[in-house]
Formats: sequence, structure tokens, C-alpha cells
Amino acid sequence: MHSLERSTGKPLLDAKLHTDSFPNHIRLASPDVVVTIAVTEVCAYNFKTGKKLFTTGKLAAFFRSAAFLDNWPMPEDGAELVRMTQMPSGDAEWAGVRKGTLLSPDALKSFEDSSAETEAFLDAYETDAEGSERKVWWINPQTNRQVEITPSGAHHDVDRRLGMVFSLNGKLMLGTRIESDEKPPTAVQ
Amino acid sequence: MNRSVKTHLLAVSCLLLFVAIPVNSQKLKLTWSKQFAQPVLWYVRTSPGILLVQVGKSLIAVDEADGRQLWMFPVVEPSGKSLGGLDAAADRGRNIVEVPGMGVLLLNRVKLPGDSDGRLIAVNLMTGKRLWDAPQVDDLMTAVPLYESGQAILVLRRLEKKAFVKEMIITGSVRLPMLLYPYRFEFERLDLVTGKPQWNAEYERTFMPGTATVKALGDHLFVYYGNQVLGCVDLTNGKVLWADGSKLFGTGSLALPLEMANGKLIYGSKNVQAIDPITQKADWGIYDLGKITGIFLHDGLAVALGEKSIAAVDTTSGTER
Repeated sequence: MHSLERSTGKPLLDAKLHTDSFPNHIRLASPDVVVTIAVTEVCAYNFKTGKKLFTTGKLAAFFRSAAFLDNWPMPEDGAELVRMTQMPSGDAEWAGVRKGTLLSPDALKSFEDSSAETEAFLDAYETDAEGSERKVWWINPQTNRQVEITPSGAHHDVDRRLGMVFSLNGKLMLGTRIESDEKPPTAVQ
Repeated sequence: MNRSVKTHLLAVSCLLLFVAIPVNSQKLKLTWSKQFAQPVLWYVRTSPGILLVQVGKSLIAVDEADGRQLWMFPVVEPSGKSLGGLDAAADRGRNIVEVPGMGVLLLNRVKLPGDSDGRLIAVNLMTGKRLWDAPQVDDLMTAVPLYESGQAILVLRRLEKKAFVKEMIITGSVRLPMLLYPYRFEFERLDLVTGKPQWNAEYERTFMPGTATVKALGDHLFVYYGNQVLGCVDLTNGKVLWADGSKLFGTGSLALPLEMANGKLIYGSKNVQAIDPITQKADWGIYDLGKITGIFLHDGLAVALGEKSIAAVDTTSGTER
């Protein structure tokens, strides 16, 4: 894993990836942490130090904070990593959206807010390690710590912006709220 | 230092290197539950915070926040089998497209009560109101939003039946994997709310399944297949302006982005190139990167990653920084 200064190309870090299989995708999960996604496992590294933070099972699903229905065909668990449909960008396109949308004012406001949160690190991952139950997790962007939840049922989806997790149990659909009990990081004196 | 101490220190170092960061487990509190009459086949989230839930033949819209049912189509009959359809679970999100932010949902290959044949139906995502409909298409791959005009390009895939049959004969199999079907793109530009078409056109080239991107940039629509084949369509009339790249089989590689800067299209093929989107004339290129794995633009800089090297150039001049 290499990091370098964007404007000059000056190398900042050259670190060895400690992984069983070569990652085919890499995502920024917090200002300091990247998640590498390989066929058999998902790992997290601090890309400022090169330190490997953890390894977990293979990717089962990836949940965007700003979700919309666009992938063809959509993987069963929703692990769509590359988007097909373009979001609005620039003043002229947003003006077109405001003029022509059928969304309610509240829904439009929520959509605009979520579109502007690309740097908020509100995505979540679901991984499946052999011999253990699936877990849903993300990286807290303030602490760089892994935050984990274990929702019941099957076919989960996560809306971190709303703080909701959805799951199915046959005919029953559940909406559960994430109860944050994380302590804010203590300021260093 | 003796060998066993060295080994011990090495082991401790490795342990420290791989020590897991503490995990913070968070609790979940049940906010709502909804019991349906039949098992839920699939559900998806949409941009205004609405869950679309398929329950038996019903399509139900549910508010994410409180589980309230917003609207329902009691009976949505599938019309024919989708291309590449393998099982019921694979139908999740297939032939259903949302135009983000516009509140329009497109359902293809469906029959609602009263429909005599399969339709492509546009629905108001907030209310479930039927906006317009048209005859169904083979496969609705995506809709490319043209946000400024309130229009979209529907990207349709039509099975090349003759080529498909020919392949079956050549392979001597009537059980050809459905994923290998040859297809052509068809594009239709229309108004999202009224469905009024502006033009439609077939892209006269046969493709096999694989990574494909269709993106509107400026006044042009680009078809980018297998991270190698690129074509340009005039957005005003659907005419193909040019096509480049040799015929190839599809690839499952993640799609590279198509970008536009300073009126130039920047994309990856064997090299990273910036070209004039109308004349296809090359402006600058980044070479000897090896297989290209990523491109991104930021603040007047184009950064290209390859398996051999990484390079960053000025998007205006192509000069390496």
C-alpha cells in the first residue's frame, strides 16, 4: 500500500499489505483508515502509519449512506461497489432537480443533505467469516475504531445517516435504531 | 542476542503489528416491525428514504424511519423472463430503476391489473401514482439522468436472437449459460415525468455481458465497455459520432471512470488518454502504466494508476507534475 502527496507525487508511505489475497477494491473508511476488499477477506489499515488494524471475513454486503436503486443486476446482498447512475452535480443540475423533482420538500432536502455528505464516512460493511455469524461494522471517523453491530434476521441493510438497520425474518420486516454508546475521544491535555 | 530471544522479540513485534483495534459494539433498539401476509422476497432502499418491498406479487413502499406503508401495487405480474435471470433472488433490483432525486421509479417487464401485455411503467416514488407507460423492453439496464432538462436516457439491452441461436448451434448446446447472451444497446431520450420521447436509437454493435458504463458528459453520451471499447453518441439526436476499440469479450473488472475536464474526455484504454469528444482527436496521454486500475481527477490534476506505475498530469496540458 502506498500513499503519496497528490499534488507532488512525493511518497508518504510504502507499507506491505498483510493479506491472503490481493485486494480488488480499496475504500476510504475514515480520514485515517482504508478498507481493502479482496475476494476472501476484508482488511483495514491505517494508511498514515501502514499498520494493519484488523482482518475480517469476506464481503457480504456494502451499504452506502446515500442509497438509490441503480445497479444491474443488483447483487443479492447489495454489495454494489461501483455506481452506475450519476448523481446531480453542479448548480445547473441541482436547479434542474429542484424544478422537476416529484420528491416532497422534506425528501428533497434529505436527498441534498445526503449527497453533500460524501466525506462523512457513513458507509457500512457486512462481512461473513467462516464459523461465525455475519457482522455489520464501520469505522468511527473520530476515533478510527471499528464499530460493530450484530443485527438479527437476514438480508440486512443499513442507513447510518438515519441510524437505522433493516432486516427480514420471513414475513416480518424489522427497523431497528442504532443506539450509540460510544464515548467521544478524550481530549489530550 | 541469542536466536530464541530474537524469535521471541519478532513474535511480540508481529503481535503488536497485528493487534486488533478495540471493537465498539453498539446496541440496536427495535423501532418498528411490519408483518406481511407472505414472506418478503426482497427489498431495496431508495434515495428519498423509502424501502421498496416485494412481497409475493405485491410491491410495497415503506417509510424507512417509521415502517409506515406509503403505497402499494397489490399485483405486479412479471412479464416474461429477464435476460440472465437465474433465480428469484437475482430479480432484486432487476428491471427496476430509480432516477436519484427525481422521485421517478421505472418498472420494466411488468403487468399491472388492466394491462394486456408487458409494460415499462413510470411511477411517482412518493405516491405510487402511475405517471406514464410504454411497451416493455428486453432489459432496462439503467437510466442516465439529464438533470438540467428533467429528462433521461433509458439504456435498454436487446437480445441479439440470431447471434444467440448461432452460438447455441456452434456450441451444440441448448443449455448455453444465459449469462453469455449477445446484446445490443438501445437508447431512448425522454421526459421523466411525461414519458414523451425525444428520440430513440440502436447502438449498432453487439456486446457480450461484462463491465459496461453508459454516461452522459456535456452534450454526449459515452458507451464504455470492458474498460477498452468506447463509443460516443450525440445527445441531441442519438446518432453515433464515433466508436473505438476492437471487439472483445466482456470482463468482470470493475469499471474505470470516464471523466471530463477542460472539454476533454479522459478515459483509460491501453493508456490513459484525453481526447476531443467530438473529433476523437487525442490531446494528451499517459503511457507505460501497465494495466490501468484507477483514474481520478482533482483540482486540475489527473491521477492515473497502473499495475506498473502511477502518474499525475495537469488536465489542461497533460504535463507531468
